[in-house]
Amino acid sequence: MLTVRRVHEVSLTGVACLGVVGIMSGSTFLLSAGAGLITIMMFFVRFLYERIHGRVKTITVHVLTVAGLVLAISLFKTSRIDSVLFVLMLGIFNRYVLRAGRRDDFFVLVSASILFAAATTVTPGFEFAVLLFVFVPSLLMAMWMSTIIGISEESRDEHAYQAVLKLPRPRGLRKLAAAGLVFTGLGFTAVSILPRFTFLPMLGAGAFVQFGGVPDSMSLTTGGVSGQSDTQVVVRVEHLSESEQDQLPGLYARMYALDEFDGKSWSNQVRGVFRHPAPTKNQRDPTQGVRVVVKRPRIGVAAAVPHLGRQ
Amino acid sequence: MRARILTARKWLFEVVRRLRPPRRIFPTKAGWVAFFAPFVLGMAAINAGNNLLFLLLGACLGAIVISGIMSERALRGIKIGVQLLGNARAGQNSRFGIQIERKLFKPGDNPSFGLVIREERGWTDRLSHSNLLTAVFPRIEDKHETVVASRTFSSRGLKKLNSLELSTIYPFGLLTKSKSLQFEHRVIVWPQAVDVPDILAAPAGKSKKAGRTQLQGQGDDLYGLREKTEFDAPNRVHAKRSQTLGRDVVVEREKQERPQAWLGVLLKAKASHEPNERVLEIACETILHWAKSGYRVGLYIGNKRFSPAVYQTEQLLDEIALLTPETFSCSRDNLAHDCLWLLPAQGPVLSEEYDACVVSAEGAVSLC
Repeated sequence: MLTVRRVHEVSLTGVACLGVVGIMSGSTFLLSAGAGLITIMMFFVRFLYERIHGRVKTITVHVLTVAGLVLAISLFKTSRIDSVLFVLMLGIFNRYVLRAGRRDDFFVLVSASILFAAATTVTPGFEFAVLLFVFVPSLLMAMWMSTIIGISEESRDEHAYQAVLKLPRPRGLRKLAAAGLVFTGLGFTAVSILPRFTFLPMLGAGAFVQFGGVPDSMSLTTGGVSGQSDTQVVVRVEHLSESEQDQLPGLYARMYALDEFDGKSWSNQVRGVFRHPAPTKNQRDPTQGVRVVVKRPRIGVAAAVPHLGRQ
Repeated sequence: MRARILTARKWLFEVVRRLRPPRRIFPTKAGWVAFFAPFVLGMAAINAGNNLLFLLLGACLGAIVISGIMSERALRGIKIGVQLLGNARAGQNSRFGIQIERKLFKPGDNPSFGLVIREERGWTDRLSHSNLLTAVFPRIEDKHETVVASRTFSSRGLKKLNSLELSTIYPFGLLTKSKSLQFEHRVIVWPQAVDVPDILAAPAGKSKKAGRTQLQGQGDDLYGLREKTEFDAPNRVHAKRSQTLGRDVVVEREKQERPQAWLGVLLKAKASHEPNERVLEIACETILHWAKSGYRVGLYIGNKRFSPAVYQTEQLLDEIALLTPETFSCSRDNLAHDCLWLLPAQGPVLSEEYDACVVSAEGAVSLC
């Protein structure tokens, strides 16, 4: 029989995993860190409802968290966004393994949601839609079950707590999942009418955080250029509609290049910030229906995807 | 001027209370964090023009709507019943049984989780929230559920419970949704509990009816039946008669017939007088003590007589609790002589032919 406990552990772990999966394609570091975190969560899911954790376990988890933070700080200079996402993953790791109640559930869910929001710049549209299709119902179920369990946790009555965990799953989970998706669609329709304009460059795409696969620096020893000829194709611009392939007058793609070389690595003078100059008056709105494919995102030249435009 | 200010304050409080929306929503601690999510997501989506962020914003807003629907379903069709358990004493926790009835419940429905019933603050309440009625229903499986809650009354008298508010953090724990409940409940609060002074520990010798109060009866002949009180031993219950009547009655035999003791209370009339309150507190406690000691207690409040043949002990205490010195009046000419009078200090003075004790503002009792 599907119990409250089962629904909770599956949905909570599912949300955390989906958030991590969403950003795993961002870099090799995120991929390995994400895979590690998912493995850890899969192992510790059986201990999720232990209310008292052993001292060794607690100390080990905290030590690992601090070590991870140190690693994140050391990475911050070179891979700012990676280190920020890694800190969120550390938070999920710490609170998931040492879960003590509803507050930790909330922390895990919020962190996973932030990771999932970050995934919008990392995971392409269709894959993201697939993830979202599972993420939204899982998030709603996790929050619902977490509230049900959390209310009994507040009473400090172990018997009541165990009784709630063993309750059969509430009726209406499917309805909740369907309603979540329907209301997501309705909500998206409603907010789609909102304007799109950059009013705060700090929050603009690629400004506050880097694009996935667009680092501030590049070490030739790790992800260097394999073929260093001027004819190397690094970016290809595709038109989504074949019938309009020849109708690209004035199309431009703004790109950037790493401009400093210290003998080992290329880096950008303005770290972590990819500021777009304001478009001139004679520039039109960004072109629709064009996709930029970054062929080799780690060779130091990458496309500023949202800043396609026509002149 | 002060009265006008109070009236204006009461009027304003009532207006604000009536203007409140039927459902009130307030974020929980976690909710405050989540509260900013749609704003941040919206700003980021507009700023970056990222459709996926718009999709997430849509999901976020959708979740808010779903939360609203589910919490509304949790709050609908709830009926509340409140019952005082035992007696209410001023300054002490009084226990209430709070019963919830889920009117829309059908067998097989989901349990209700996390319903909280809280008494709202009244316009004159200066109590901290913990002193008001709060009942938590972690889980309601069936149609009915009862929990015990406590509340402290600051003073004696006829008290009306403030209106109740039903709230829940269900289903996502981010918002507290609440609604007011149509409800009226009045409670008689007895005076504050105090120690019985030694001088009043037993009525014998202090009443004109000292001989009568010590009478223990002449034999085992049946004297009669009467309602069982909380002080009667269970073996005195007359089983057959109790079954017929549907309530417990006890056998009174001549030997068991309890002696009577009379207490009188005089107040300083038309004054909010501190010793008056002390008199009532001590009178209340003395009546309880005498009743526990086996006496049938009668009471005089001024010229009004409350005979133990008619009034139960609880009823006497109710009368004391409802006494208002502002409206108290009595004639000294026909005061009873067969009782022990309690008088407030600086209040009325009785001649030597009466047995009387004076109660000071500090609660000290001395013979007149």
